[in-house]
Amino acid sequence: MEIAKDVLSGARNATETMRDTLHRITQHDAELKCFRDVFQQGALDAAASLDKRRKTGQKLGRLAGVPFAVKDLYDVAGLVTLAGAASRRSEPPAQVDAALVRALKAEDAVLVGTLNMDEFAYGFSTENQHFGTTRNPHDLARIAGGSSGGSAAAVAAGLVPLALGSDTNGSVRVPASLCGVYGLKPTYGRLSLEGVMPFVPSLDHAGLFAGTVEDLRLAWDVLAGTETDGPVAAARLGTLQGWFRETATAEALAAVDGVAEALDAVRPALLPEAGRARSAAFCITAAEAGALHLDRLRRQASEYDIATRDRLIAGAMLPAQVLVQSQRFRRWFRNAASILFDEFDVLLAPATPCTAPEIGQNDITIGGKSIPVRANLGIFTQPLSFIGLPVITIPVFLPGALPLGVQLIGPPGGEAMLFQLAQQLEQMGLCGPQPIERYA
Amino acid sequence: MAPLLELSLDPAYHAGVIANLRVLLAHAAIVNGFEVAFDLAPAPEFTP
Repeated sequence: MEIAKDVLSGARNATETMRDTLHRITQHDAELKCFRDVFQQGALDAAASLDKRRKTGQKLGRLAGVPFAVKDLYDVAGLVTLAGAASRRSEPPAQVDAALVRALKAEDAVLVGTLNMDEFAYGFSTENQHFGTTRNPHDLARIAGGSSGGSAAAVAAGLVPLALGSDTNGSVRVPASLCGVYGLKPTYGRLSLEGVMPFVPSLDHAGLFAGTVEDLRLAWDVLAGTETDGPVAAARLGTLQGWFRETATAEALAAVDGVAEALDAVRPALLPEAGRARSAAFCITAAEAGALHLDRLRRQASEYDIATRDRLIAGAMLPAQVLVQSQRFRRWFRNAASILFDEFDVLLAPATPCTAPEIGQNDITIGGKSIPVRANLGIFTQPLSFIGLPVITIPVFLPGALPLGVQLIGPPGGEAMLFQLAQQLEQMGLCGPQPIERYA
Repeated sequence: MAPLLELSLDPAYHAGVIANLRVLLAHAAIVNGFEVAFDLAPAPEFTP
């Protein structure tokens, strides 16, 4: 990361860098609504401590002075973890930071705040009744996507270079796509969820956002304890057909096809029953989340967002047979994907069926058919998180259009290949965020 | 169903809950329409 390189070399002062960051947040967040809390004094104190340590010759970490922020479901010591829910205001504050927050701080990154999200992570739009709607930095009349919308928008607007989010059905990949930044949803179970409020335990993933592949990779290496710099072959590439093209706008298809055409040897690939996988993920989500919230719903139903409440109550009523069948199908689908990865190293698919919808927009027309927009933003992400596959969403900008993400999908544990391919595409000029004049 | 779950539902919630349940059951029908081998175990603690 440029900031860390400069702080480590002494070319930049961590305190000045932090003042700039906090100034930018103050200047722009009133309209964007990315942040729930900003730790002005804590961040300045941490930066000053880094400068002092450097002056006295102490070794600094790999992320020295890098400002980062976390989705409001990561525990931050001393702060109540709200998860976007006003009903949690009376809960006790977290005693310790979440494991991933600790890992970033251990490399001297500086936590500057917590970020807005859909209530309890149940949504794709970050239109939060309690804490406001996070706006898309590319067009303030449009949503940022969700549920990690605050994280994606904060990186897209350059308020922070790095943010943590979470992804159960697409909550990193959807906002990364709509806001035009890189997003990583790693292999299921690969990053610790200690100190992260659960939503759907059998589907929840920690994830991250950054403005460049290099930044994403460095943060991943820190969080996962890996070193992904070496060359890894990703020669056999496929573009997912069927479900992953049927409900996509022409723009989404053009984004994927543009990437595929620029790479040699991209062949069509079929992941069977992907639509059914999306339905099974939908049922597991409702059932597990409904069960998780049942006790709170008995006591505080009126304090939920209306849409969240109704979904959770319906989920709590879903027959157990459906959950069991969904989990059995999940094993079948995992096996089908495993067979596909005998033939391919990396698969490509759109991250979202369309560019960012307008705030309050209910439907979108695709292929002449009108469909509800919020429920369908995750149709291409859900089948993949359903079986825990690692995915990097790369930001593609077609001329004159809003950003769209393309998913690079690997086999379990295949993050290194995805990073290599993302780096290659970035170097070819096919992806990467575009600066937004308003926030330059 | 709600009383069995000890949920006292405000009548104002009914329409929203029913609409969501309808959507869920439509997805459930899609999942139930797939025949998986009888001995295929569920994956509640999923390992990719």
